Amino acid sequence: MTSHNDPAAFGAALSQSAAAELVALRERIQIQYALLDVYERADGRERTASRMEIRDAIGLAAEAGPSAGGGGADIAPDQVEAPEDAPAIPEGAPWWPTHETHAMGLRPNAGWAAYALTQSGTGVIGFSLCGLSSGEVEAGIEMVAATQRRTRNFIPLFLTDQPDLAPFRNRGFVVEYLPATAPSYVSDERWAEYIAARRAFLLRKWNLARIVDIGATLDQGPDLAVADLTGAPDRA
Amino acid sequence: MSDVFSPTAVISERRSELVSADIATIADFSAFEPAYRIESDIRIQAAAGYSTVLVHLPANRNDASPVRPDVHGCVVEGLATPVDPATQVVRARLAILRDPETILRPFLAGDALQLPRVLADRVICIAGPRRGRQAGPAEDQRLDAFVRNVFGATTLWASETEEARTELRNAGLRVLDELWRPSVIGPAVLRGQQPIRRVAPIVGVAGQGAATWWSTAAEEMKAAFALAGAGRARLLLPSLALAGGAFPEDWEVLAAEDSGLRRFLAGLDFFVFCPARGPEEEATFAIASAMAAGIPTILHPRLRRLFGDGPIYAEAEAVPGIVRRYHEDEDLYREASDFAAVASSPFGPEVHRSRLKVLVGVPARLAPTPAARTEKRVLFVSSNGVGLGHLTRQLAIARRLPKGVTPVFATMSQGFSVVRQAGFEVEYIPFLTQAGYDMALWDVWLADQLCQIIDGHRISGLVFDGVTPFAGLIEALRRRNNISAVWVRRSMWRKERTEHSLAAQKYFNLVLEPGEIAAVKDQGATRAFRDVVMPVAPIQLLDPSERLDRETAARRLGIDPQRPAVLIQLGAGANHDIVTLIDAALQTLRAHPEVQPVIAEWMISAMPLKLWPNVPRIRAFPLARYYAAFDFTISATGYNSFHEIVSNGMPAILLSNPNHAMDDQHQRAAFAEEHGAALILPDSDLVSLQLAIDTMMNERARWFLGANCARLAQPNGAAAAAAAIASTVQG
Repeated sequence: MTSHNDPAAFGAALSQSAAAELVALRERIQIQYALLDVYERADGRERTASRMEIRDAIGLAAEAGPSAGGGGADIAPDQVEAPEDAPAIPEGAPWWPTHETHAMGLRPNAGWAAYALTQSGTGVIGFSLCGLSSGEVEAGIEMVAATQRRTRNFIPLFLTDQPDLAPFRNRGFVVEYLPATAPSYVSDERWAEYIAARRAFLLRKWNLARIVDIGATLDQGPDLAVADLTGAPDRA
Repeated sequence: MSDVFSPTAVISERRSELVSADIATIADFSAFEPAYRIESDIRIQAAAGYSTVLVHLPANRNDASPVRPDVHGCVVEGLATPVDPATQVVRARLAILRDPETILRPFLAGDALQLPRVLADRVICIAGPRRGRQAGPAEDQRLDAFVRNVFGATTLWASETEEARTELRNAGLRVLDELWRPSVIGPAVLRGQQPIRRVAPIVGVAGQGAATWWSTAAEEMKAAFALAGAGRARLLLPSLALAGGAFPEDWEVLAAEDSGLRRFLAGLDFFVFCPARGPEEEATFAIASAMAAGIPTILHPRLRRLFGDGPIYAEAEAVPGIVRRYHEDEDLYREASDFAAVASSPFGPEVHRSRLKVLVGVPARLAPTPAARTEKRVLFVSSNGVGLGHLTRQLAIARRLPKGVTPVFATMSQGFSVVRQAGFEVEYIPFLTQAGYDMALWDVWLADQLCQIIDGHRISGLVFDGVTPFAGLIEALRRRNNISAVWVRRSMWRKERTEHSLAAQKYFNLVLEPGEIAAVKDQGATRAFRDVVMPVAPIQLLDPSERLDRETAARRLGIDPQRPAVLIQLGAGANHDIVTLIDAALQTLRAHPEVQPVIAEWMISAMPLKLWPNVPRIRAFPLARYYAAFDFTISATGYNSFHEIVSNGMPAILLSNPNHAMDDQHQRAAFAEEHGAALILPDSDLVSLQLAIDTMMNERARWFLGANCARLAQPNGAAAAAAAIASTVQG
């Protein structure tokens, strides 16, 4: 982590020859990932003993009773505050100037199967898997990955409301998390505004051409969901 | 009249939305000079139930400088509402014009500008600093006529200094008899902190005004801040004052853009202002705020007539001795703190409230605006690391926060699901490694995202756990400059690591150092700053009572409690080879068929560890909860694992991660071995691994190691850390 915290040193180290080496390395990662994928599919079975998954909220919430979302002690119902309404905070208004970022967007890693695309000029498309079950999330990722393998003309950036990022991490995809439910201290209405603002922010942050809602098209096949991937940007 | 009411300054006739408020403040909110006072006034107004709207008139109309975060923070909190001068008409009972001669200059010059449409029953013009002023009485009269024409109301003038009041009177204007004294937020807001007992005090000064004067004052202040290693000097001054390089290198100097006054003061143990000459109003507001916050305040004797008996008065040369004496004597310190707070009352909120009572009357609506939320929210920000170390430490603190302080997480760790499972709100920010390694660009977006999260969750304080506070994090703290900021910074840095990130501690009002059982072995750069941090005992997620007994733990893991079991926990494998080590350990353990080896798979492992078909793997969090099921462990020596092992009295073979970016795990492991509390395995020494495992199969050896662990164990510092963090946000 911190070895990358000195941009000057990192930039200096990344000479032209190093950059070429980086490209070659990315291609090797891509090839190795593809080989691993083939082997695992050919094998077709888990070659290991049982794995015990114990992720039980630290195992403490029910037993020791740290209040969820409320610090170390329970809050009596009469002490819970009413949800707050959002203040009218103008964004980007010239009459109330605040800090605004006009920087270029970030470039997400392209995924292990197409890792060499990372530094190409390929466009980035957002895929929202919000509202899907974990099984559907897997299917959605596979659908996008399959399309990417076939077309090699886009880099996906996923949006999810599932906190388990392993399915994305295993494929080397980048994902942003949008919490599905409003915290107890925020009204649903204000939370919806917040999430809408976050989606607009993510469009700029990753320079997304658009956000495709996979949830709406999952059962209609991959072609419809990712049709016209290279179309004109749609930031509405 | 017509010459001042020029055609280009005519109020627009367009259809407009009407906004009603008790008070309309009209000012250049991007200017540093009045920002402290405006913020304070808004908070006092909101607390008293007055509604406030803000009309931003930049002195330079082409300047799109952002509004000061002090003021914008009030908007985010819902304490005031900004209005668009082009589309909204304001009907107010009182309009307060801050520094009218500056903000109205473009209109007086006849520039083609649209005037704000504010209709007020009464207008009060707060004259700006009169330093080096060119305008004479005629100019003042012209300005007064202009204000009356535009705002159509009774106009009064007020000033902050006697000098300015005399000038205004000489111009024949209607001037308030009373000076428009600073009115600072009361102790309920500022004086929330319990005194943090640092080994050495942090002594500071803050102020506004002319940059050149501060450069001169710094020369005089050098004697006061010459603490000779017995403390740190910290300054918050106008940006231009820093350009001349008048300050010694070991002073921590912040520009006005770097911090709000409240956060800055929260990081001080003493406030010192002792230049023997020069205008005192440069620091009046900061001095009054420091006193109200209960910070022992040392002033030059010439300021006694202004601040009375509360502060300590001394010439610059005497300051170091006074600081030492008060810092060493806790009772004396507390007394000075109380005196300062009591003596700040002539500058308290009542000053502004009583003005408003006369100028506005009672608030129009009875229900107060949301001035003070009883619930405070703290944002725990952690970097990715290679495991869950930062996040685990933060969880340990978060679950011990007192009632009324709610944790929210913003983490770069992909293992954040454990936070959700613990019942806390969490936001995830993809780390640099997923965004092309463009650090500078990533930081820009990090700042924006953090600000969005801070605003969206109405955050009052931020806690960062990590080695390097990212530039994007610092930028977010600059933009949200009055939320409290705490850096949880573990020690045991590698000796060769001399990063400048330690300089970033000036942006935090508290640096909290989790204890290290192996502290005597610490050779890292943080040692030099240990005197000004708040130390707590080693932070652990679990208290002893939360660990499972052997039977229960084994049953939950599905292993036989009657047979010996070994836990192999070598980390995420993100930055060093753990497969070879696990393989070697398992091969050695085959010679002991009664032993049940179990491999711990990290929540964020790069790949599943499924190369050993007959060996069970577990993904459990936190693993320490199940330690009793095992007879010994082969373990990495990260902060959390090490302290959990020692406090559980778990016999261990320790391996240190050789990656240079990590903490000094080798020293930690060496300490344990020297105290007979663990065996250590030199890097990749597989022969030694076999010997170590053979040793561990001896029950007496395990007993010996466990007993020595118990001797070294320390209490859990998580509750103390939680209390300190809560005190930074609670009033």
